[in-house]
Amino acid sequence: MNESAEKKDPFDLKISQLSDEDIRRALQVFHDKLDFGAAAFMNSCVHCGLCADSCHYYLATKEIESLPAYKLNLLLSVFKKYFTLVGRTAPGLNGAKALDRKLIGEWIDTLFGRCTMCGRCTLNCSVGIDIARVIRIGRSALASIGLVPPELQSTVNAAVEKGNNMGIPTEEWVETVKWLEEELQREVSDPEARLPMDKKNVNFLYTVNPREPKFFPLSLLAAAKIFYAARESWTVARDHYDVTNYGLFSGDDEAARLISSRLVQSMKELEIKTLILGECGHGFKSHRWEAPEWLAAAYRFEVKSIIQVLADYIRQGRIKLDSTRQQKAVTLHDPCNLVRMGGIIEEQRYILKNTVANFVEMHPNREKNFCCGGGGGQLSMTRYASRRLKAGQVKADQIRKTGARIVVAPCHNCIDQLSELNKEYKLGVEIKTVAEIVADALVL
Amino acid sequence: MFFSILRVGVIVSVTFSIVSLATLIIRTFSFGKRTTYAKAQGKAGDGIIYAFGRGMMPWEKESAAKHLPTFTAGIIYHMAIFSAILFVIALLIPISVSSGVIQIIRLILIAGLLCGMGLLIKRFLLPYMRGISCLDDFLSNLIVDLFLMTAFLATLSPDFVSPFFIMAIITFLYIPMGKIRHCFFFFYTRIIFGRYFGRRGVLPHPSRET
Repeated sequence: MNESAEKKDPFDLKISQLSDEDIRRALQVFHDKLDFGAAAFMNSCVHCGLCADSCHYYLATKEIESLPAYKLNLLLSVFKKYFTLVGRTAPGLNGAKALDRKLIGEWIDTLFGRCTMCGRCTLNCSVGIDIARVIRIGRSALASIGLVPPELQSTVNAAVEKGNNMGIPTEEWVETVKWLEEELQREVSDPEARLPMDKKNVNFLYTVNPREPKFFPLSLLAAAKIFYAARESWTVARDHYDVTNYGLFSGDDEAARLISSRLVQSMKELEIKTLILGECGHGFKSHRWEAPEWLAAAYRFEVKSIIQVLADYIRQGRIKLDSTRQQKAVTLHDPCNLVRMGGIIEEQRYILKNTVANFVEMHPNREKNFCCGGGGGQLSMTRYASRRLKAGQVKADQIRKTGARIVVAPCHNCIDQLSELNKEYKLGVEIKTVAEIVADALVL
Repeated sequence: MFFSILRVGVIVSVTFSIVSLATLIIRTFSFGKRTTYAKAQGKAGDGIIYAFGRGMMPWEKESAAKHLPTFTAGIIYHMAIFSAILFVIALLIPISVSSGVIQIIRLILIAGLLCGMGLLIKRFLLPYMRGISCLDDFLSNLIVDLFLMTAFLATLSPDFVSPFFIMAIITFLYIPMGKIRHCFFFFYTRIIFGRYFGRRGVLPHPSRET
């Protein structure tokens, strides 16, 4: 190996060392993942360019590589080359391109490095092409030949091999839950207060983002405090408690299927009828909407977000809140996977209007909201970190315009990105989960 | 004689276009349909109705609102294309069209032609538009513009009916080759869009304060 090769990123070397068989395999997976819908999308793009301003990457950088139609075109050109008559016979006419190492390099940089699969371009596409879905098909093709950026792949591997994406040993998780239970008892002054684990036949199984036990235990404590106040019958699982599923982002359906199947297994073993997903945007999209497709079976249990549960508690009077405690202006960030792609839109607003004195919307909001830039696996792919922070400028500007001092986000990935944006753009805001702000307002 | 050949030519090219597009649709269906297992939260039908109605409006779609001239030009352009196609049919059958209707068609055609040319110039001039364009994007626009131009001229004088038929033949032959095929696929994509957001309870959203 020469000196320059030694200095090269091993991931880049992997691209240059791809065999023709690898490329054939990627093409085969690309073909196999296409269904009628995706193939219709491939025949629908008119290159009108109206999607440009819908993408936070393009708005922040004005780089053509970040324009949604350009990203789609990278996949379209390959579709045309291999799956259309005109593309095969007159590639110069419709921009058909053979999949080679150079194009694969472009796919990686663009599909992984310039897209959070937030779906905002889909909403704004003149035709209605689900660009995020097509991007994921491209990611699947890359995943099939081991070309998922290693940082994202290691997150998937940790979940597959160790049961949670942070690789937290079970003993550590059990210890954390015990410690949080003691904290809960102290906070509510009730030695009988519980943070139950592996309890059978309760109302619901609660899943958390492993970031909570690892870095933000107070977030889990906040949820436990609300459940205590509501006299809820619930549990966390000892083994499979991870709400995340990074297989959604890597495009690896096998891994995604395995990760989701573990929650199904927990539900079965604990004989529980409702699965409650913690505050995690992509976790909600994965387990509520995509997992039944990955598993090719309808769930035999209900799946809800904790946001729906909290809204129900307020509606039913199961918890009492003092909205005068929080006088600072509070705004809400809508996580793309929970809201635009998930359909949980009004509940969080209802909660905040009952929890704080001064709730202000950011604009645009709800399904039209901008992505914070932390989705699509971006937070784990450190190689694209500077691009991610730059793209987050759109969100930072949105927050600043609200004048709010507190930003609430029902998603831990979003919270991590918003925390970084807070520093990068000197926003001077506090960032909280919905459960945290509700717990602060609880009247016990 | 020449005119009769052109008439047959138009009919053949329309037939070719329809058969080719049908073949394309069949090939697209051959990729298979995805079964949906996740329990719906909203109604797919409502989403589809939204997709073809309110969901196309500038007050619902930020991209249309931000690019209102382009959006409007696109609408007028498509109205002109449909008018030109109806005009071809009227000439082929033939159906006598009142001068009032001809006036309206003429107006739509010239407006559509100007819009089409505007969109073509935009594609040439803006670097990001050039960056996402291939030869087909320019050619499709040019062919349709010439189709509209000859249609407009044919409304002014019967001398231009033959050039109009020639452009109609070229246009119909080209439809399945390039991006004009979206005239079929648009409807499928829009249905899938509406179904997706409708099932998930995202669209149509109820009226609410923002």
